[in-house]
Amino acid sequence: MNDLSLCAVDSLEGVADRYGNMIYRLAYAKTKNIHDAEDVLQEVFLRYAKTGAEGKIFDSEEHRKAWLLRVTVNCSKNVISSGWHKRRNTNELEEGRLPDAASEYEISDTRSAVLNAVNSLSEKYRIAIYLFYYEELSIEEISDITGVSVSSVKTRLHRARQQLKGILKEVDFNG
Amino acid sequence: MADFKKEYKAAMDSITPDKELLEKIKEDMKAELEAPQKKPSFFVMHKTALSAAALVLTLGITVFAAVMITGGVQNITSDSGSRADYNGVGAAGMNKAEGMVITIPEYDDNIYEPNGGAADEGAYDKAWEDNGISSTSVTTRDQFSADIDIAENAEMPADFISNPTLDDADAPAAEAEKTAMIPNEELFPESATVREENEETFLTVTYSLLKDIAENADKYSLDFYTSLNSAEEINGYYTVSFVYYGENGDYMITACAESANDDALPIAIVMARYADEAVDTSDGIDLLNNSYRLDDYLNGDFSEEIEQIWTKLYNSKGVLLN
Repeated sequence: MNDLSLCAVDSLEGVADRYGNMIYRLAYAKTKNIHDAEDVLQEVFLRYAKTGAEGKIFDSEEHRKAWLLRVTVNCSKNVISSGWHKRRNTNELEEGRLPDAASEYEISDTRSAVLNAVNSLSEKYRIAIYLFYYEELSIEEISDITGVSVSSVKTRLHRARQQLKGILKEVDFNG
Repeated sequence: MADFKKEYKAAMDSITPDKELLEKIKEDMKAELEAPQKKPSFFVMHKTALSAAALVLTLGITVFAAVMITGGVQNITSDSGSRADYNGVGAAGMNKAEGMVITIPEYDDNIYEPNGGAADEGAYDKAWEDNGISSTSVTTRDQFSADIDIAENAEMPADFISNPTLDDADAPAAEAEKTAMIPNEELFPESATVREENEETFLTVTYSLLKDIAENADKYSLDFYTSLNSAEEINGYYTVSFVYYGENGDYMITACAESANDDALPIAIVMARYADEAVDTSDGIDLLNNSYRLDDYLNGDFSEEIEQIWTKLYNSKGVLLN
């Protein structure tokens, strides 16, 4: 991994390349909608540019990543709670949901089943699962990013696993 | 055999943003940097002073409203006892420097309903009367919510947590210190962000306090468990309410459990530990109706913890609900 400048203003393109997928996926995990995820992606990077204009310098790459994850979580919340989002009709929301995305991205049946299962969880459980299994963050890091207690993160993971276990009972998992 | 993590990662890997969109975003970012920085408006430049003025005004209105509400206790009615009230309590609680009403009305609708709450109502009234607060009979959650409003505006003794009026006289100093008042900073670690999430904060605070009680269960008196809690058999299940009132009725924590046997009390305590999750109805979770019924606590990962608490209670106080 090439070193990027920790100065936000000097690293716009590099950060977009390096973290674009991460932000998009987290936003998708949070919103369950690819259109919303795109909105979040744009908003997060605009904020990054703004903070760069203000002279933001990160302490480390981990610091930058954590900042981006946190801002993504917050921006996703804003999108979900926006009046515009709430006023959208069911059809509009369905368009950006997983079944379409799954076929678009040519996800296999098993993987599609896994994604559908995760998407069927409530938002807080989805985020816990995503950050833990995909980003491989520690419980403490998830706690920092989501702003909930460590014990809550543990509980969410436990319950998310329990729910997934029930949903995916037809699939023979080893973990 | 499929590997969940591997399959999930592979599935998520395939979800990527459109490349054109990413390029456009890069251009937008550059444009954002090149855009002339606007001179801060008067409001931005003077936001500290304006914020302070707004704060003073808000506090003034809050105090005025609190006085008006406290003075007109009998007239308080709650519109529905619903989630709106719940959030209202959370938001109001956050604005208080120290005193805070902690309750979990969403935990179980039944205990505040006439058909399932007779015993609890008695305990509730007794605690309320003992503490010199109106002895209105609580038969519905509407009234319950109204009483929350009353309690919310009462003063909380500063040493309430460290000296919860129960039988902690023999508790070692270190133990007392462990239950010392939780500082506001700890309750609201990132107030700016968290204040946008009243419910989350409220639940976190609830959890912290309940956890404290749960972890120090043997410090509390038998009276605490027997007079303020009751076991009642409803449709073959024991329902146990776990209610904790402050010295002046200004502090209240409730949790409830139902079980097919008298394990309900330790379960209630364990549930209290996880109350921040259990009471979250934002996604329809309802302890009495969802898959996290008490069987999960009895048979799942919580069973060992329940057993430990039960043993602890039994050994220290000889608590038997029946």
